[in-house]
Amino acid sequence: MPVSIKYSSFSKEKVPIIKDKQIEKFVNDLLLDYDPNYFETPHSLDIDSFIEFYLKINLTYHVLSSNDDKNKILGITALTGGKVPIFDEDIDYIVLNKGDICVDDRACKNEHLLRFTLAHEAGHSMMHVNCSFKLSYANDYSNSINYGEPKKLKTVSDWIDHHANVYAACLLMPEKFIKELFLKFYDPNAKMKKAMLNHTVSEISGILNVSPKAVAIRLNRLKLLNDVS
Amino acid sequence: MPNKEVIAMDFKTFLKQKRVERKIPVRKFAKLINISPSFLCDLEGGLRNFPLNSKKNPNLFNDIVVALDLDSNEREMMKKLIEESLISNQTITPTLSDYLLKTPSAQQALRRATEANLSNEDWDKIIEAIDKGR
Repeated sequence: MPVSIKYSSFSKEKVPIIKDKQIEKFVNDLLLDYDPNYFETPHSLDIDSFIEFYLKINLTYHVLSSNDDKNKILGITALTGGKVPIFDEDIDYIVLNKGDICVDDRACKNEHLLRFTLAHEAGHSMMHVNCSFKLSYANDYSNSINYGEPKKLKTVSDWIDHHANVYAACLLMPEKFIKELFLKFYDPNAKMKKAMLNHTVSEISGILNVSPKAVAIRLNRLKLLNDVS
Repeated sequence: MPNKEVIAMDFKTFLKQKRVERKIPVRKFAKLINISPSFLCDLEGGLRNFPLNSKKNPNLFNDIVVALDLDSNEREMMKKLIEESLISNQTITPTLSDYLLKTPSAQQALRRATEANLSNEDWDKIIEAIDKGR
């Protein structure tokens, strides 16, 4: 897999400064390397096979939070490696090596959230493992997964979560697919704009196997909703 | 003469290797064999023994055979590796324990072998004699 991302600068906390467009290009290059015909027809990515057999990231599933924890950990990426506490029956911990990811499929309430979490963790593994900032693990709770929606970025975790969310959004909803499907389903002459938008979002959500919320945020980020009141 | 590759491999390595060879991702394979993804990861990670009396899936062994499309040799190899993994984790399969319970001479043979500290090579000769006698 020859595709890699290059960092030109770092923040004072040593977090790589990566622009969203840079991540978009990186992901597009990955998808083309994975399958030169990937962008021919919009379709959903087999994210499980992509992570395990193309990215060759060690991916496991375990229970990452106790029953008492209200805020569940959905996924974790080992940025340096070591023991991680788990709550599988009779098993207290697992050992993750640098770059390994572990996801709690039971904490992810539905398939859409699980797929996005997988893609998000893959983003951490691809972009944040060989960096010098001081964080051993990327622990991701439900509020870490925001589909790339803009928000205030203050801490190291905020920044790397933003990178991972943009990575996941680009991976599961490539710009080319979104634009093509938007043109296909959205009728700008429809009188009931909201209903037409809901229909468009629903169709795209079904084809790409992502949540309607993720589609709506992506459409907004790609400025496709500017003409829609 | 036992195949040295079989001795070097263990059940968890066999299971993961066969799954990866067939490019079946974890979640899909877990669904095919009717166990949870985390239980599959526990098995592949050697964190858990093969469940002999699983309430969730009593047909787990056969489901794995079907999902991986194992031939008869691979099926026998997996069975042997499961038994070896259970013995190394100080558990014995019901097949072996039932045989020992109803065959006092087999128990005596094992006791004599332990006292005489028979080696693997000594047992290879005994196995050869057993196979010739069939």
